[in-house]
Amino acid sequence: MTARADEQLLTFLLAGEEYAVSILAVREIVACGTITRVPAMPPFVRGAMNLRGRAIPVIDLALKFNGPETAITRWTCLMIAHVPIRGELTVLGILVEQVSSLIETAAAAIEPPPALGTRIHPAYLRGLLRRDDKLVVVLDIERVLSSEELLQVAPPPGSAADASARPPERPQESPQERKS
Amino acid sequence: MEIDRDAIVDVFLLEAAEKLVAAEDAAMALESAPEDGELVQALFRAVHTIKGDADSLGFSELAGLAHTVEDLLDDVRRGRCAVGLALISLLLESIDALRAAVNCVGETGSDAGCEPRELLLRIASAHAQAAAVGNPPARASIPAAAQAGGAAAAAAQLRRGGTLRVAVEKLDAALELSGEIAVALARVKTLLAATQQVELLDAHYDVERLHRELQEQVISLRMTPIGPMLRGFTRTVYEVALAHDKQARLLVEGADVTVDANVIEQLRGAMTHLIRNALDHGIERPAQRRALGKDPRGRIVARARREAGAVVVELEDDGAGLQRDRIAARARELGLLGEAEPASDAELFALVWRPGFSTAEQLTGLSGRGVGMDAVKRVIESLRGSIALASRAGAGTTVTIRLPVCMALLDGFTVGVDDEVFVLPREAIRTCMALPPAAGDRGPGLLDGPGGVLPLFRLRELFAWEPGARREENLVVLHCDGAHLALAVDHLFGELRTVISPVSPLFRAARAVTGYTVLGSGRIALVLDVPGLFREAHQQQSTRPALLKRWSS
Repeated sequence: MTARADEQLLTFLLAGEEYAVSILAVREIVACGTITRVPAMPPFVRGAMNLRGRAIPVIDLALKFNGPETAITRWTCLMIAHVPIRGELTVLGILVEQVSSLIETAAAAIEPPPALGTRIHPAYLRGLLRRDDKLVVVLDIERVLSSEELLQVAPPPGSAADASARPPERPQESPQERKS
Repeated sequence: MEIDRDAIVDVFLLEAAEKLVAAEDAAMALESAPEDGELVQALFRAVHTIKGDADSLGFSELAGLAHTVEDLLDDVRRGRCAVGLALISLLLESIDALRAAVNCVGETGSDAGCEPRELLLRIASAHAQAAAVGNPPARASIPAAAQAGGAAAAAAQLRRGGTLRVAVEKLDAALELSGEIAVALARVKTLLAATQQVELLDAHYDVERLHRELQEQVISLRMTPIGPMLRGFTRTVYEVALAHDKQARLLVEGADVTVDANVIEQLRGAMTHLIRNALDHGIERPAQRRALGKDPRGRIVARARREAGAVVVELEDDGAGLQRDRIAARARELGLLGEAEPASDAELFALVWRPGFSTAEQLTGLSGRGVGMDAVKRVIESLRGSIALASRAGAGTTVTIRLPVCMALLDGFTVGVDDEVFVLPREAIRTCMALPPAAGDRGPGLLDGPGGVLPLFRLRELFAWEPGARREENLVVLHCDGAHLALAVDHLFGELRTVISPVSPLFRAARAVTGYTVLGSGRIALVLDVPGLFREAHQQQSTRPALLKRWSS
């Protein structure tokens, strides 16, 4: 029985596991270049990268899903997505260890996610896909990259939260250090 | 010769807008000079010309509206209609309606559906009342010559090479391209320098020079005179004063001073708030002013001028000035001032910028977008500008706004922390130097600098970054609003004049970052916001209470 293949998914490796997103969400895939650190960002925003002259935010989904930081190697890529943030269409780069393949499948083949057991919160998942005896986690990329999710840690400027002081992580200065 | 209709319509729109501004000024001037026949004539002429031009271009609804207003003005100039607040109100509304119709043509190319029914009825009834006073006015028929004259005059204007309407996005795109060319040229220069070939380097130098000229031209395209924006407040001043039972007029100086187009809208919001403040708190009621020996009509001056590298916009009123006791009382309410603590004028007035300070606006419901003076200050700072208050008790208040001449270009100075490069605005830098080895001797966080003891902050710490492999070796002394701080960084690179771009919406919450630029190496360098850095330092300083007193002295 073959169901009509009406979905195209891009699979990739993230923290050693295989994930998939709808290809429609991905504008292009580029090699990961130098990442410029941007201060006062949540950890999963690794910084900015130069994409044809534009500084675009680099998002590390591994960190966002409470995993270890994605290591940058020569296979590391950025999946470029355009998402609306506060009404503005914003270009974002999603860090992936390695892009695997493009697969076609039927939307019906994606099984709903179990309520428990997945490392990632079920709200971020479209479901699970069986492929060659493996389970591929299909992400709901729009939910993952929605304004609320990305901006929840960074309060808007001028708000009360913005005015509250964050204790800085200052190193303890030892007398030896000062002398050098 | 074929005449391009679009171009003629463009000229018509520009001229109609100008005439309506002149008509509006004349109408408001009538309030204090109701007998001045020349003002009415000026109004009549303006509306009459718009009617003729609109008719000759086929905008019959607009022409019809203008015709109705013209009838009313005819009544006025024949003395059949009394000039009072009610009539002036009606005239101002009519001018608004004409303006809306002209804008409608500008946006959609047609005046269909522009006739404001309700307003027309009111004008018609005023006209009927006037007719009851005397003989029915003889309708001046539009001579055919005037009609033809309209179109021909427009064509003549075009041949003389008037103005052109260009979408701002096109200018922004041109500027962005220019910036990218600068980056590419810098890359070529690095590659050429390695070849050591003088001819190649000379040729490159020529290209660089030409490109700089081109960039300046592109930047100057974005510059627009500030006059129209400032004059737009004449109406606001008139109406807000009226609503407060006060009298005030607006004077505009330096209308020809040009400002970056992107700045105008944001400046407009800030100035609206300041003007409303001036009318709410500053200008006194007419009776009170007379008692003080002042002209019962308050005077608000909006003044623009150029200074080296900056555009200065001042808003000066001749009202009561900042009330020390009211400000001190409010400051105590908010816990910003102790009971016994005396404060100098400068320190006291600086409190006005704190969030939540002004409450009077909220009570009178006057302020529109944004709340309070702190919002105004942030807007000005987001434009890389500064704002200051000065006041003479009983004589008035002056707000001085300084803005960079061009928003897109920055005269910067680059510094480095670890592998990252940051750009600081050159005008915020007092001096830079190597970090003296005995820097820590005055106690943690203090530096014996030129001119006294300075608070010392490491840029790493302000960003809450872990200590790097390198130890800071250099520092930059920054100034902001009269305060100074020494910022320790790893490297000092040098001056850099560059195009800066706004950051992605996601990065806007990054405190102290106001934009970015791309270096010749392709690397992104963040442009730092000096007031933001000082705010960060203030917050972190709260963990070092011993320093608090010393810094503010």
